[in-house]
Amino acid sequence: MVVLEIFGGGKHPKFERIPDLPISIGRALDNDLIIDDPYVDPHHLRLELNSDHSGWIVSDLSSTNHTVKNRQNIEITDVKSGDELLLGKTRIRVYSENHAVAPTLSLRDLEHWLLGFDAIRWVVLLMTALAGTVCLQMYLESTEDAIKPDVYATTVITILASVILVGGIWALISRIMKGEPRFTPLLNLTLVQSMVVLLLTLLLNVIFFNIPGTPGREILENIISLVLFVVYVYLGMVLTTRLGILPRILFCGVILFGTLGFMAIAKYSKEDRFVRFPNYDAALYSPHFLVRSGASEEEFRSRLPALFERASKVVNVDK
Amino acid sequence: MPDSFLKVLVCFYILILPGVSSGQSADTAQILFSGNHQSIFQIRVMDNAANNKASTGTGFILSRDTAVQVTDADVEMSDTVFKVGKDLIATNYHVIASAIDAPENYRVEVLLDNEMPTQAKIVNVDIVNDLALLQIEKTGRKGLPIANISPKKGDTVYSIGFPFDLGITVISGTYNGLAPHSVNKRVHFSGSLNPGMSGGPAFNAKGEIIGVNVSTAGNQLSFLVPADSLSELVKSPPLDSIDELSDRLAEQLHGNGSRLLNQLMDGDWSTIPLGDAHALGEVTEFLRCWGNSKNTDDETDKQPYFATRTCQTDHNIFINNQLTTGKIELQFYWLEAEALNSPRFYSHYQRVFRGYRPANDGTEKDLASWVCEQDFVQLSNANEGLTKSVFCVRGYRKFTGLYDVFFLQGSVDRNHAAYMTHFTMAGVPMDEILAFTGKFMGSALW
Repeated sequence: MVVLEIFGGGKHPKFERIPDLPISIGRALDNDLIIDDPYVDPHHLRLELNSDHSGWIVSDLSSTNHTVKNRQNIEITDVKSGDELLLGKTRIRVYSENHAVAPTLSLRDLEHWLLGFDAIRWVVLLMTALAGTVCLQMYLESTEDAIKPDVYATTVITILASVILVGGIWALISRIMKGEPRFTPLLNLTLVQSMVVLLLTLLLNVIFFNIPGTPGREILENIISLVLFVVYVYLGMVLTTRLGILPRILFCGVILFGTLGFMAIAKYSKEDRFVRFPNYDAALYSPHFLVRSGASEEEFRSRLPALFERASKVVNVDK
Repeated sequence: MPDSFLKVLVCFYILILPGVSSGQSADTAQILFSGNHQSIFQIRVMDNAANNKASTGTGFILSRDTAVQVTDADVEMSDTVFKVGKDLIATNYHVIASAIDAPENYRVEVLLDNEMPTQAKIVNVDIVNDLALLQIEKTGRKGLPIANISPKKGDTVYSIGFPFDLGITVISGTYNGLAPHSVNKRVHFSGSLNPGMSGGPAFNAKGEIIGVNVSTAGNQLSFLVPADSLSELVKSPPLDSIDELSDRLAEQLHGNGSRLLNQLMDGDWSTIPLGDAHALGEVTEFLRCWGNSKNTDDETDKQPYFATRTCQTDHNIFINNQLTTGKIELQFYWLEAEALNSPRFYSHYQRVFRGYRPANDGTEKDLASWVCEQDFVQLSNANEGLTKSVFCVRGYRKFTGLYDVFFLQGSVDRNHAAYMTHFTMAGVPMDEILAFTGKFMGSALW
């Protein structure tokens, strides 16, 4: 008995339970396990139990592209539960049926889950949603008679093209590191990320409209964007690289804390910068988005003497 | 015999004088020039490091009769600006502003005959009226007297100065009285003053000083500081030392801001309609107002309808090349658009709301950074309308107690219309501007 997990060709990975060994693996239809991969030989590999039934032995049947285990072409080798073999462009992981669920398994679930996100209908849905949101935002910010259709079209095409480009870059990485492009799930991931960023920005704008002059508003927005970006990069890495959890978390951690550090330094060095024009929060949105009442005139005016004191302090800071 | 001959000659002369012709005017100009040019000098501010001219202007010796009658014996003891062995020179503040701004970098020189420079000491200033008094070693030239009576509108007056480094020049023009709507007294002079003549004297036909050249708007439209402002300055206590100068300037600017705000508070606060709201009229005479609105006959676009009213002061107080102060500006802005849905209307409204700028601009050398207080404010009027309100302040580095302010209040409770009220002022003291803000916010504008 052996359980094989087969990855390849952008298809859903699947498990095969093989009750009887030995088996032959290859592209030809007379194999016990047929692999539909043009880079796999008609008769590529033989898998059999080893003598003490503690694992298996695989033998490469003089294949064109060889069988690869741990980056080495093998002719005949031992395989234990959890090992991975590469035949052409297809990866096969070998498991015993009582293979323990190790920590790495949960990440494989994440990878599977992301890979499952590859239906074309998602692409169409997300692209439509993204295009629609962008057009709506453009419309609401316009005041002329009508924005010409070609302006809408150009903007939408530019944005969608950028998303496709980013997806393509990830797919290239995936192709290099994992042997297959996985373009559709990566594109969907990028589309979701774009929608989330767009909608979150609009939401934050409305929230901050209701609390004008909040100090640190920009910092909060930047941190949220940064965290979203790092999560996106992490998921992209799950799909496209062979790195384990630790290297991935380390890499994303470096991006996160590196950028936070840079932001802190930038903020600190801007602290004494001369503010030449009054830096007031001029955001205005329709009354539909306003959910609060205001301070009284007296209350507002009562805060002004303290403001003059602050202005005097700013004067004296450099003396 | 010689007596009667002289009398005949005088009568003859007097008969000819009333005939006002340009030839006559040229004669007067000649007489004035020849009689007085020895007491009028070019003034220049020199950059100590580069030994170059930073700016030039004109100045003239003042007669001691300007102040209360003093004798030589008195001047040592009394606290007047005239001193024994010294000449007092009058000029504009802006001519020597660089030397006041950075005294260690610049020096003031008065050019005597053959452009011989003599070092000048600053003894008093009036920054609000743009005047300054300098002291140099006695030259032996006569001091020029200030007239007791103002000229009449239409009188010919004569201005002398050093335009553009071209040597001393006489210009004649017409006296047109005090300019109306002026925030400080200014004489409107229909003559062509040129840069470099600033600080020079303007004479009536009798050779008395009726004003000091101060600025030009081109096209024979120029301005003089009236002579009584100069008399006031001469009579006020001089600076004990140059260290006092900054405090004196702060005091004058503070006083000016105070005066203008008190005038505003006591002015006419009746309102005029603007859109569905109200704006202030010409609260005091030193504010000039005008309006603007979208031409509704020209309905070629769906841009919102707007109507605005702006009131502001006519001229500013010069502090240095990068900084002016003293300006007051009010604006009222009505905006509406039935044709746009609410979010689109507010997109447009936001663009207007964010575009307001303060009354003056300057560098961090002179000014501190702006600090702001902003919030939604419920109006105290009958409708209890909701507004977004902003109040920003900044201080002056060299003048404590003096501030620039910026106020903006815009309605946020109507779907297709909006009203903004705004004022911004430069060089005002805190107590008075807070009182003004209270009155402005509480006036029936909404």
